[in-house]
Amino acid sequence: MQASKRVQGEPAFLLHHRPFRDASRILDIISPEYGRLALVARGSRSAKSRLRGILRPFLPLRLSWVIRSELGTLTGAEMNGAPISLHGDALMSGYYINELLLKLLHRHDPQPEIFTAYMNTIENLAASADVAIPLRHFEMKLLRLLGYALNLEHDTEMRKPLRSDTMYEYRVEQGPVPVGDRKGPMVFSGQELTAVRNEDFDLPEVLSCAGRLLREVISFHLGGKELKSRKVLLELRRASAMRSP
Amino acid sequence: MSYSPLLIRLIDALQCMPGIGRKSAQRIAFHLLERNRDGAKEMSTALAAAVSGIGHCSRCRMFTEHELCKICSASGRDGSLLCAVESPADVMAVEDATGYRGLYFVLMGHLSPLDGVGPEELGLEALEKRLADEDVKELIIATNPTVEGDATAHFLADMASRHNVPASRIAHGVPLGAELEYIDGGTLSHAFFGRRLID
Repeated sequence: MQASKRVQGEPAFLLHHRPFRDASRILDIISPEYGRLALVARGSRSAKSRLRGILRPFLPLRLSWVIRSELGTLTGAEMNGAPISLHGDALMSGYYINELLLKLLHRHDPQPEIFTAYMNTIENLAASADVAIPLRHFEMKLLRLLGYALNLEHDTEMRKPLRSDTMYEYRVEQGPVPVGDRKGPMVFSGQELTAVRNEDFDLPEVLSCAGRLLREVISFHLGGKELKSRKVLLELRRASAMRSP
Repeated sequence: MSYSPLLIRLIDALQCMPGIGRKSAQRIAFHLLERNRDGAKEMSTALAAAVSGIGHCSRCRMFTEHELCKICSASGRDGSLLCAVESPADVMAVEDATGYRGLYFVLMGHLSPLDGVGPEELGLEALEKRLADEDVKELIIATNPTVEGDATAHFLADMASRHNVPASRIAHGVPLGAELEYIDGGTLSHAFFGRRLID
């Protein structure tokens, strides 16, 4: 049997939680040194628990736990800096990136840079007017750090640098392939692809290209798993649009 | 060596209850068979009747075996006040504690994007219809003070404002009789930013 390991005061974020037994919860957390892992928070739903106000998603935390196998046990939690509060679209976007991490990151795979990118993105979501900008930056960074970086430099047939006036179809497993003037949802000009590579997301047309491109690439890497937060977001948008004056 | 088929079936069935695992199910099964067969009979008929008879109130989604629940069909309740809560237990808690005389809407959950619970699952179309059709003067949002409860509250408040109905959220913060020193940081910061003028 493995020896149990004790971790003290590790920075962390809570990605998701679900009820467990009568008064406990299972937490999915991300930390820089230990990656994504699951912890049981015993008694954290009971009326007397002092952890209830702290164990919330999007709140910078310091957690302590013991772990022997797959599932650890939470032994302590405190806040780590000022709370970040997300509302409306920013909150829904926060759920979206939590779900991306839950579905794309393996457990117990330390990725300090992903943790930092996540933390910065949460802060940017709280501060920016257009949530799409921090989201696209995060998606680009996440794919890069996971080894799924987009090929936005060379066309895959001729191995030549992209030409700004040529049209390319982006194929997820290969990269840009010249297509002449054929149209399609994944057809972009060389100029657009270069702008996406440079992350010029302040330009609305580049932002929308990046959105189209990244959605396709991410859904490929999810391997058919549906993003539930996306479905809920679309329902919410539809519900708000339906009867607004 | 294993139990007889009927006993296995009973133990398996008992495990569908929350918090009941194999050991507890076995203990309950033995107790019912050994010491309380009448109780077990009553339980099985009550369960069967409840499952086939109880549905949701067509107005507030509370559990009831009638078209309208007791509160919705009672005379003397104030139809201009509407209180949105997450669960039927919350209705009882508010009823017992506050003397509130308005009506309710039971969401049967909260928005939980990671579990795929959205506006459809919460029956928000029905709530929207009530805000549009009925003469509601205030929507009191009594969702839990969790991130999901907050998200739900924001969405409900948005919906209310589209129908020009003022929305309020129940206060949350330091429990009565508590000492600040011992309150967790999250709760205290919430209470601090939600402070109000003394009038």
